[in-house]
Amino acid sequence: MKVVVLKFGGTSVRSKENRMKAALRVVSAKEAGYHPVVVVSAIGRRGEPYATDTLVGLLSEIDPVIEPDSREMDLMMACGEIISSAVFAHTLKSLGHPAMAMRGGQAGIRTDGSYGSARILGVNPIGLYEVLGRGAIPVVCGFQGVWTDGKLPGAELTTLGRGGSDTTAAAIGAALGAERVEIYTDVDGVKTADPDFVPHAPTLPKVSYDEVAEIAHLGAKVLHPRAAEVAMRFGIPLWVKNTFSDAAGTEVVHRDGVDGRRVTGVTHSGKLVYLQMDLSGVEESARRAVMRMVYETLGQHSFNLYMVNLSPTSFGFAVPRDQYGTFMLLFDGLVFPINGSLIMLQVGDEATPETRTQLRLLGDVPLVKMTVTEGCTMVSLVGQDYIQQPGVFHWVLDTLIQAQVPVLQTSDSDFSVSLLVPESELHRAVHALHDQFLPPPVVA
Amino acid sequence: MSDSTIRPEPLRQDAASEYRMPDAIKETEFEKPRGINRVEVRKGLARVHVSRLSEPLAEHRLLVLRAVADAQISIDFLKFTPTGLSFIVPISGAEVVETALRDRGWTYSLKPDRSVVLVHAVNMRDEVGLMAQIIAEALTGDAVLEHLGDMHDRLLVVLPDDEAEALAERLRAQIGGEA
Repeated sequence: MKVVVLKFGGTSVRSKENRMKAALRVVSAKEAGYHPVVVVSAIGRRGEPYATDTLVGLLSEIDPVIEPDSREMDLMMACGEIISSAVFAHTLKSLGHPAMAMRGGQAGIRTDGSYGSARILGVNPIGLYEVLGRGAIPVVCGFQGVWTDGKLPGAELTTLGRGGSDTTAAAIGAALGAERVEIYTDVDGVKTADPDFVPHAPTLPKVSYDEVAEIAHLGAKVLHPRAAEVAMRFGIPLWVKNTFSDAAGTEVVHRDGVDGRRVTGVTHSGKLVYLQMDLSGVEESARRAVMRMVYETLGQHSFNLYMVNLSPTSFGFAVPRDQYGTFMLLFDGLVFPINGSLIMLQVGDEATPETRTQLRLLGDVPLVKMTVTEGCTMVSLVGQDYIQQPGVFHWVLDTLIQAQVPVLQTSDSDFSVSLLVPESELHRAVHALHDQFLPPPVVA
Repeated sequence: MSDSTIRPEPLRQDAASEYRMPDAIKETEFEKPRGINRVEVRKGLARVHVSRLSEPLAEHRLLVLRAVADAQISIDFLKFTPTGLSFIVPISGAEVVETALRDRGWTYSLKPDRSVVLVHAVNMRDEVGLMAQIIAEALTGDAVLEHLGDMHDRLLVVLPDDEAEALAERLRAQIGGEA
């Protein structure tokens, strides 16, 4: 019994014509002897009537101050996939193929209770088997599942967070022991760079689960890393294909199925603010206490951190730009006791009038300055068995210096080097790294 | 004219109905749990800190990296510091690196017998506040943290060998994760 899972993203289902092209791919799979199971995202992208962002706007525009409850947000967001699955199932029926739209819960997707970013705990595929057994094609709402808290009647609807539909597809593929999971999008497969930045970026015919997870974590939007991780864990063959072309796509395989050392791609992600704290004016015994206070506060206020670093007289990190306002409110002008005396923080080179007043009132309080670099982003070079070579950091930084791209900080793993650069230089950075490490083949 | 009574349409049978439901259907367990799943210690490292480099800093940092590359030593966890850079090398390469730095007259410190405590968490950067909480906890004890780094799935702390296991144990006890 051969099952194939086909997942269609928002662009693939945004119009009647697109849905027909997607549906014909499902029909082709069926005619090839497979039992197709379809997973769909919401119809269209931001600004379109049934897109997730549009639906969320119905709640968030009610009151600019009061945030909608995450439970109601999940109910609202899940509507996009419900609409999409009903429309897609009917499209298949119009082509003469029995189909049944299914909510995530009906497909057996059970999650934890984290509204907005739920994790799949398990999949009980009995509902899917039932529909398949009746000769129909299940059309499952991506991005959603259910959890039961034992108090409210029925199951609570949850959404899986970013990339949730990819994860749904991989999870269903694993639960059904699918021969493969095909993720359909509007590009020909996994590219070596964002084609909006590097139009000539080639499609990779084959990548490893590790590579695709790494590039996805570091900004590539073609496949969500959670989907790659689920597929890897269960050994489900994964493909990334274009709904609208006959290009072969990218096959995602185990690491030993990919030829040795190479650079996989150049990615970029994040709108960040880089903060560096100079502790040279603080007694050595107090430095640790300052750092601990800062990190405790960051943890309590749910900050996401990037590029953390530490030296004998300084420490630093980057925070998402949308958290910087809160950061300023919390830390600029903050006075706190360390080892029996007071220390004051100043965020940025210039003290605000409030900070100056506070300093005047407090007298001779040591001031710890935090240097702020706004408008930063991360560019990353990803490569299997490549990054560990001697000299990689030198080549990467030399390339960026030659391209006159300032690098503010770095971080690295076994698979990648990430560099914090000014957002204004991002295009140049991506191009320089791509041209250096992934040059186009020379045509004789 | 529309029929206000909507009835589910019976599914037509076709070739796909040959599908045979498996005798036993099991729920499949999925994604790794949130939060910290592993805290491990890797030994056998040396920490190098090169400081007081001249301006332009970027170009002088590059010269340091070139010297280490020429010595055929692979480095990890590179971080820029206010007047230089720091990184980790395998202890087996420490002597060669030290020679390269000394020969060029750079101000440096090279501390052998270092370990890295790696705290693994799935999608760590998406877990709000988690990285900061781990660092704050690491700073709570007496361990001398010399170097910090992060990636999307891990946080790393470099410190002297003899303090690493104790820090790892404390982190496991306070914030979770297996060895």
